[in-house]
Amino acid sequence: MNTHYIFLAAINGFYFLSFALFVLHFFHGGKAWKPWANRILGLGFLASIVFETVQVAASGSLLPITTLYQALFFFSWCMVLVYLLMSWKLRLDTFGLILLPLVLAMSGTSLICLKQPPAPTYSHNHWFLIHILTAFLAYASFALSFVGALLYLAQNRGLKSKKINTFYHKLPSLEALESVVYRTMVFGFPLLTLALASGFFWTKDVYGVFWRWDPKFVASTLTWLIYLGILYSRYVSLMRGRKAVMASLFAFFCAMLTFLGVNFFESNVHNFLK
Amino acid sequence: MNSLFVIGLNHKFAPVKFREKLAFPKNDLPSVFLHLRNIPAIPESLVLSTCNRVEIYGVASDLKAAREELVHFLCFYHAVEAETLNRSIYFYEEEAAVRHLFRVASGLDSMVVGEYEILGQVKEAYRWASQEGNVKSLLHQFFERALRTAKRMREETEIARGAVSVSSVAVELAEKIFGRISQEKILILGTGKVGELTLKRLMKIGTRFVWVASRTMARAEELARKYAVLPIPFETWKQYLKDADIVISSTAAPHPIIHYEDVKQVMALRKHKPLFIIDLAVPRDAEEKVNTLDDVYLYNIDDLHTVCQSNIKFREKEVAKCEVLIEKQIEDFLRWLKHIEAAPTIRKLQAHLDAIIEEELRLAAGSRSPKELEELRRVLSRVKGKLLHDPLMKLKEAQDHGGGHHYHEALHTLFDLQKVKLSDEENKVPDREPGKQPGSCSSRESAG
Repeated sequence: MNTHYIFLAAINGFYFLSFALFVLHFFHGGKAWKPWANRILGLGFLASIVFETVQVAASGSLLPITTLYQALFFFSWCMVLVYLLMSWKLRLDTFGLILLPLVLAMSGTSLICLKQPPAPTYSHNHWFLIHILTAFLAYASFALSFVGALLYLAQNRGLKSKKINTFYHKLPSLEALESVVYRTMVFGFPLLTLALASGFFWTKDVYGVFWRWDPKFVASTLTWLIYLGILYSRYVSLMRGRKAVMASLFAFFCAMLTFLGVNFFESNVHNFLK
Repeated sequence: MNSLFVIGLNHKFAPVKFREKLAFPKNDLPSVFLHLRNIPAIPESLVLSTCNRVEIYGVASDLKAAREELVHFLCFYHAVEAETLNRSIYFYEEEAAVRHLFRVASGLDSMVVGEYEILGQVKEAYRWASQEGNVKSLLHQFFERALRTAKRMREETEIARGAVSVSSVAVELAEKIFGRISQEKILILGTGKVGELTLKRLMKIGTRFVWVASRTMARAEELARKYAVLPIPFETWKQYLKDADIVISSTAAPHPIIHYEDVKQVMALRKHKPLFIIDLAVPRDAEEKVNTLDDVYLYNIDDLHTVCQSNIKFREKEVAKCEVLIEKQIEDFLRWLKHIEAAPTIRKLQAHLDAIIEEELRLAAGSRSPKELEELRRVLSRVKGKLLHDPLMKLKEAQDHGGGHHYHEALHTLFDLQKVKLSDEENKVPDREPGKQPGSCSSRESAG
């Protein structure tokens, strides 16, 4: 446990240092900070991979996600993964500024919950593995979409109020930000669909039925429908600009409610807090 | 010892009328360089002539003579009175000249602080002078350092951040809304000058879909012909609002013509695709309330001016950071210059000792075999190296702290170094970065 704690603290340290460099890049100007911010984030990510591998080897389970700490840590890792993947294609210069506090919140909270006893795992079931992996990656994509939406609103506010400040200069164009919001949702939606489907199959394997009237089931399905609605209306050009971005914020709120909030209600199969 | 200097005039000291008179047209530069090469007091020279400044940079051992020669040349070349010229020109020597060029290349001495073009102009001036053979080792190092400093400043500070003219601010805003301008459609209402300038800038970066409407159809057609765009009858412009992304309005209408209700309806039809309205008219063409609509961005002429001012103020704040960076670079360059100054004395001292060794070897040659002589030469050379090591280190240290000239005088007096003559090859200024070509400092700017 002690080694775990040191490892997690080191990973959090990398993320924090990377965040500090993103802040310096944003407010202090100069181009020298950004590559270092990304490099150190990459180091944190690699350290997380090593940590996860050690966890897998120690637990003998392919996906050792049985406690809230493991769930939060894995989610933070997925967020960094999606960010690094997306930054190949999209201009995400300033995303670190908001994404990293989120990553740190998740990964840092996992430090506090380290001593929580593990819940039973179902990692021998392949539907369960697919379900967990795809769900986490989908939520991580939506988190990036959420960051894009916040930055869009900041840029939009600056342009509307005609206040030309650091945000105006440093943030990408509205078009670019909207595109990130949309593309990350497009990336996350098939994953969410797969998560939902594999969830149904796993329920079938474990309980003999596809559907249970469980808060998590209902919330996930509703979230899926909301994302479907947003993507459809964007696809047929029914909704664009600020309204579309606001809708994506609402959808992310629902996704987070599904991911964490439902734990506070009575759920039989997804409760990390128990 | 050769020193750097600059003589010239700029927007701060001379009105545009006088600057125009003293400017060197590009085509005249070869003859100007020829004239300068023929002035014996100035072994190296470079001309920087832009709309805001006319300057001659150079190297001279007698700075007073160089100044007189150049004033005479400028008066003769441009047919101006020496008295008139002397009222407007400045002459900076050594450290002041270094500081001046570093500030000029970095855009700190420009009319609009941090402007982009000057770096390209300095680069171009350097290239021309090098091609003509007017630049040798010292100016070469001087300009390479200045260009490198300017480049670093753009990377490490935000001196060039934000647009500072109304039309460029409008284009920058458009890019902040639409990203890279390419497929965006533009509707021009009225044919004002600033509107035309904004259109020109937008077309330069890629847009091709433009409609022009003016109350006088002939003027719309004239503008349309000039930019190969489409003229439309003024009364039909509202139909185009549905498809246009950027509206540039500068009509002479006494009341607003772009109404809130119209834009609201159009936005529903546009499915909230962003609409950027640039209202350059006074009195204004668009109702202020239009800006409250989602995805509509309305900027009037005052708003654009405010953005310009805010960007200028920001750049001025960055100047302090730049000055710190420049001072460091100047210090570094001056240190290098001091080492260059010390080099002839060191070389003369070495040559003097080499001559003594050769003389002694010649005297000893009679009684010794060639092998023994070679061994003796090696021993004497080692002794020379060891003897000189500590004094030369102390001389370099003294150079860095500004007290080198006492040592120079002492060495010259003690060893009678005045009598020692060096070959041309030995006299050459050592280039710290061999292999670098003039103008090799990479930069995207071109001369303006």
